[in-house]
Amino acid sequence: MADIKNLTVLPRPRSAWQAMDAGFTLARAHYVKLVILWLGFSIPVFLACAALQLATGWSMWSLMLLLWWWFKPLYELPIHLYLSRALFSEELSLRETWKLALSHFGKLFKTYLTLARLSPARALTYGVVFLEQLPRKQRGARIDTLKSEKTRHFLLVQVCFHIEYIMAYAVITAVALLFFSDAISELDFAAYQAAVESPDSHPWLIAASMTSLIAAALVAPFYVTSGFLLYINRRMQLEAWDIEHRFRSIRPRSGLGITAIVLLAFSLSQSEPSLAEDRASSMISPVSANAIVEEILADEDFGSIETRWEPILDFDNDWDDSDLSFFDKLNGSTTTFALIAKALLWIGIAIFIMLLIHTLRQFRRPEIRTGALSRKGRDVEDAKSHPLTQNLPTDIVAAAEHLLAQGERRQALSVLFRGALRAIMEQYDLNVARGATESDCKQSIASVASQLQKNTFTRLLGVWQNEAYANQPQPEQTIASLIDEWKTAFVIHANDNTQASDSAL
Amino acid sequence: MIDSTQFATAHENLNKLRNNFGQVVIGQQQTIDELLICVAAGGHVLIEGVPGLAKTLLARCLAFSAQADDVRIQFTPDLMPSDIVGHAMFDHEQQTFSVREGPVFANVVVADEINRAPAKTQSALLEAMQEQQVSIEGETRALPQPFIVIATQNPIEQEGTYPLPQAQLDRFLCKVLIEYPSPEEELLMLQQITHESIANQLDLSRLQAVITVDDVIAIQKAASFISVDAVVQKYVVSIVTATRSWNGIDIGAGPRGSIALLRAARAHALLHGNDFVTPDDVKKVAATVLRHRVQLTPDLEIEGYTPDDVISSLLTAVEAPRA
Repeated sequence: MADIKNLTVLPRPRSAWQAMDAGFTLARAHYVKLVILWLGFSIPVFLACAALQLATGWSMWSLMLLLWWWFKPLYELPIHLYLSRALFSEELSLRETWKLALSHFGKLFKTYLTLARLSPARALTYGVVFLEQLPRKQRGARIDTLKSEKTRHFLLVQVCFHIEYIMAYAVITAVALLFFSDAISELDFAAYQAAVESPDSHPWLIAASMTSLIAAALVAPFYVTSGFLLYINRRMQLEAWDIEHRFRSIRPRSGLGITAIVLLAFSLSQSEPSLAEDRASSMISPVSANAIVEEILADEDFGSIETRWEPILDFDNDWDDSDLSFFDKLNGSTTTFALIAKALLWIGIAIFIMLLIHTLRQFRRPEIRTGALSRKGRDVEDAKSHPLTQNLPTDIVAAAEHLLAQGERRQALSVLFRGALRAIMEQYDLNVARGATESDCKQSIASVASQLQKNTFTRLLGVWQNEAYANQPQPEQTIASLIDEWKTAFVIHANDNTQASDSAL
Repeated sequence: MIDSTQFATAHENLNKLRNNFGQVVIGQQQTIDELLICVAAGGHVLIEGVPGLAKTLLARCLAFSAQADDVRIQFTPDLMPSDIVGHAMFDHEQQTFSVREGPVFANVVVADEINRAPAKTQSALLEAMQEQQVSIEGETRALPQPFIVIATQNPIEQEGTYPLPQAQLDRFLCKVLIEYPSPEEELLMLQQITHESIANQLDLSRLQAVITVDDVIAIQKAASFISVDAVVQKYVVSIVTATRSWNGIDIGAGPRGSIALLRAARAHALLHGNDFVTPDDVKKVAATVLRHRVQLTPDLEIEGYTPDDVISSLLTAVEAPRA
């Protein structure tokens, strides 16, 4: 495991964008070597695929490109291994790098030449697989940890993918337009298969393959380097390499052999290549840096304690009481409002309790509950308000005799019937239902009236019903005799009541 | 018009029927009276009561006492209209279609558990009740007279039933409620029914035919001629119209309710030997005539009120004639 004290870059946390910019800068600094490392494995594979394709025929030429594309992690592995060693002060030669890459072939085939080949985070996870060398289960957890924050690796893939294929097909198109313009005009995409199999299209296929190889070689260093620095950036964030490095390396190391990597460290935060170059050109040498450090250590301020005073507000003591005068004015009103609210609350509680008691009373005593059948009007009336006793003359006998004399037998019997009822109701303080019929009235008075009154009332009802409902005119003598009986049964009692009232007065 | 002799005969025959019921039906005098009122008024009756309260016995007793044809139809969910009114069938010997009359062609039809049959079948019977005739294969046939339908329904076990719609309930003149007999009546029932009797057969041996079918028609004719004063007619209308705006009644009785109430009041007067209708007659039959014609509001139903409670309240408040 590499020691952090051998780190050749100045570690500090950067954003994903800054890390990718640094990756592009680093790739440019080592571009040629990185391209060679990439081609070292890609060309043999390309030739092998081409040979395989030549053996099977030109019709499956695109399959050759696909097979070659599938082995891209194999070509990228030397670049990654070279950068990882250079980061920790170990500069590998091309041969050593390829040799080291060969030793990782087994792991590479088991990890990246499976479905993981399609992972857009390939460049980000190379470090986990080939540097940390964690077991498979821990590797997944580690990768998840790295991806816990946005690393923008998908954007890196998109950018590199577009640059690569735009470049490839731009070259093809340019070459075709310059040298094979006639062939382009004659190309019929509907007869693509026939065109591919024709000898005339073979130069096209070769040109397309070669341009794809060249485009991939040109873009690959940027992709792998940017992915590697994304990985390093995440480790710096997670493991605080910057703090640890500062503690361990107060003094710059002398005798560093990899000056270029030191220069790279200072250029990581720069996205503009020209600015990075300026920084590199103005970079101080290790000797002059050592002098600066000695100067800083000799300074009397170094290691001293600086005391800073921060104001702390004490509202209890520092607050100006005059500022509270406004609240003092409100103090009395607030108290009044609180008292009113408190009184309203008590009133509400009292109303609630009363309603509760009322509800419980009705619930427990259904007989006092106002039923659904109850109405505003009374169903039972006394003598003064009962419909049967309304519009009756004071002197019933005189009125009946008068009506009988006029031949109004029905009206005379009606006055006698209703007058008898009123007399009994008044005499016995009896209430009768508004809808009471003749038999209801007879039943009502049965329990209170005298026998004479009941007999007279019964006979009266019979005559009245025959006259009123049966349309059977009753003899005048019968009605006259009823008037006489009425006098005996009801007038005497009426006079008694009147006399009693007079004596009381 | 009918003379006093015809009226007296009708009243006497009605009383014969009433007394004859007492030979086999123990107690249930109110039910018997209401049934006889329906018979006299020429209406149909819907009897509601739990099983075993002599609903079928009442119908059989009526038919036997009046020497009338009677039939009992057990309403079931698979009963078809043609099972009631009849149908046309092909006669192979005559090579023609002939009409086979259904059980509805009888003087007294007992529709047992009428709410068990689907609405289509119920409608077939109710049409016969209203029109007093049925149509089979386009041929109209008059039903025998008198034609009285005594339908029964069970207030419990409502699962799988088809409750009669309000419009169809309106066809019944009265809805009679049969209550449980008193303990004394039930004891008497045990002594009479179980003595020298096998199983649960209806013992009609003590009955005798007291009147004829023509007498029933005469009773109905006599009832229809009973005089009704204008104030009583107004009283009838007042009661029925009050149901339409009464607190607690959602749907009141229609005009058919007024007609039925007056017809029942006439029959009640006849039953009690009066040749005129008094407000008392109206009031006495109001509940049995109106209880199935009003629909209570949901809140009253939830609180357990019955139509009889509301009608009683209504009768207490509606002013009776006074002049």
